[in-house]
Amino acid sequence: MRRGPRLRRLGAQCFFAAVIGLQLFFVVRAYDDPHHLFGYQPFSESSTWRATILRVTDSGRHDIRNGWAGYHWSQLVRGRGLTTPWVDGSAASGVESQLAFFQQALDWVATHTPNDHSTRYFEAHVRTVRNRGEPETRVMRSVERELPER
Amino acid sequence: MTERRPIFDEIASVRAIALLRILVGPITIVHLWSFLEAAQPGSYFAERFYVPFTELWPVLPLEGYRAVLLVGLVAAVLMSAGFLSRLTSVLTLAVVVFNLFSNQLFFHHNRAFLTTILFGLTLLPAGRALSVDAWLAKQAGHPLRDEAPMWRLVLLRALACTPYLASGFSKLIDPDWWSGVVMYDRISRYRHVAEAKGVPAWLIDPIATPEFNAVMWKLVVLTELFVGVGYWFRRTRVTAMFMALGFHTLIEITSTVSVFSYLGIAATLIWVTPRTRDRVLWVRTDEARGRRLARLVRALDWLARFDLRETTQGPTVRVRDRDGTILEGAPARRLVLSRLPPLMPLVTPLLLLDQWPRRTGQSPQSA
Repeated sequence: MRRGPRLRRLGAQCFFAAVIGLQLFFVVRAYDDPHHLFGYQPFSESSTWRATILRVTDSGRHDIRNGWAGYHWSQLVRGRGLTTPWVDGSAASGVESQLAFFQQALDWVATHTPNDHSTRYFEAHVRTVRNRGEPETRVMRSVERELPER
Repeated sequence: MTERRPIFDEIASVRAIALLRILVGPITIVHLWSFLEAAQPGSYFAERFYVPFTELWPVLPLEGYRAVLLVGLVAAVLMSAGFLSRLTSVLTLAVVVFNLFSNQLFFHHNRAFLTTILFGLTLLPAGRALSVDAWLAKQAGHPLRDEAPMWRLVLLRALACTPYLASGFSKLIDPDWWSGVVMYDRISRYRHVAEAKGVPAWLIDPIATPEFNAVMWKLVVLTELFVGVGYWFRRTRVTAMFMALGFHTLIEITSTVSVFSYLGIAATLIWVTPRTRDRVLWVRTDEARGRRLARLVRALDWLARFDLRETTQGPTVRVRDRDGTILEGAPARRLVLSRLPPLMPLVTPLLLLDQWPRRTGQSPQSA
């Protein structure tokens, strides 16, 4: 075989192996990834979740359900079952996936609400039920907010 | 018997992939359109909580984002038509990937699958048949050869069977899935939705039991695994295709999976034997039945399975199959109709009637 076709064939073989290797990598990695990205594990759970979100200020804890400082959670966070966390919702992609996104949402809200001059951080009391199992509760916190000098 | 060569030396017809290209166009349009509809002032994803895959990924202003989606939509239309196929396939893939990677909240497995199939369409010269490109080239006197290196098709096949194998295996080793708890729980919680849609209680009651779900979803998991493996073998390929059709229909009825079902059904084309005109069909065109069949084959033989030859002697219909087997009469008609894509799901089961030993012989011309 001449050099040109041989190199082309080798290139094709390398490309083939690289793509298959990458796909296999994602499939294996999905077992350690809350979102199973590119690992094809749809509908992995029938779990449910619910969270009560509180603003923690110097004066105490306040439910954010009805809004605060002109903000409403449901306008800031939409989709993936995160819009109304205080209502029982599905975590069909898995509890880990749901809570990973929820943690990121808490942090995002904490850092994207500049008109809020009193919240030190957000605290969420989360209840999950994994595939008809026993309910589990946990407390999650957003990043600490920097409040303006008074 | 044809000699088997390594996939890196073999050539494959892309005729079936061209048909896949045509079907994936509208599927991509439906996919991108939903994002375009959602991208309105005040509801643009980048104005609210979103999760970029990487901070380096550019976030466009709303108008720029809408323009990119429109480019993707136009590219998908042109890709489907087969105009500048390679360029428009790449452009369609680029827009779908750009959008997918803009926000992790957009990620769903059906979108990953769409990306995979579009990647395959950029890899294979899917515009060399059933396309404006092919028509233009023919008009110019330089008809395109609808062929590509076999390894590219094998690569697409490997990627296309991954969702079935990965999903099936993950559920096989998950005790909650294998025991049916996951689906029993889901069906129990959403039975009121089915009731509200008018599904009668006598139908829901047996389905919403642990016993039913313990058996049903084991079968579904095994179906996924069978499809992923069965596609690879000639003897099980047609069965795998039928099981995939049933699987995707069931998924479409019971779940919200966006374009996944349509894509999964369209992707069965990837597994069509990549050879064209390797069956010879003789039809008596001096008989009305023969003429009708010839017209039907010309209209519906989208995958170019048959080398159609008109004749005025011998039986009304005669087929020489790939292995040299000669079929006549009803078995020949059934084989022909079963290889016409729109009729395939209806007629293929009838081939079971022809499973007993076939009569072999020679073509009418040589007989």
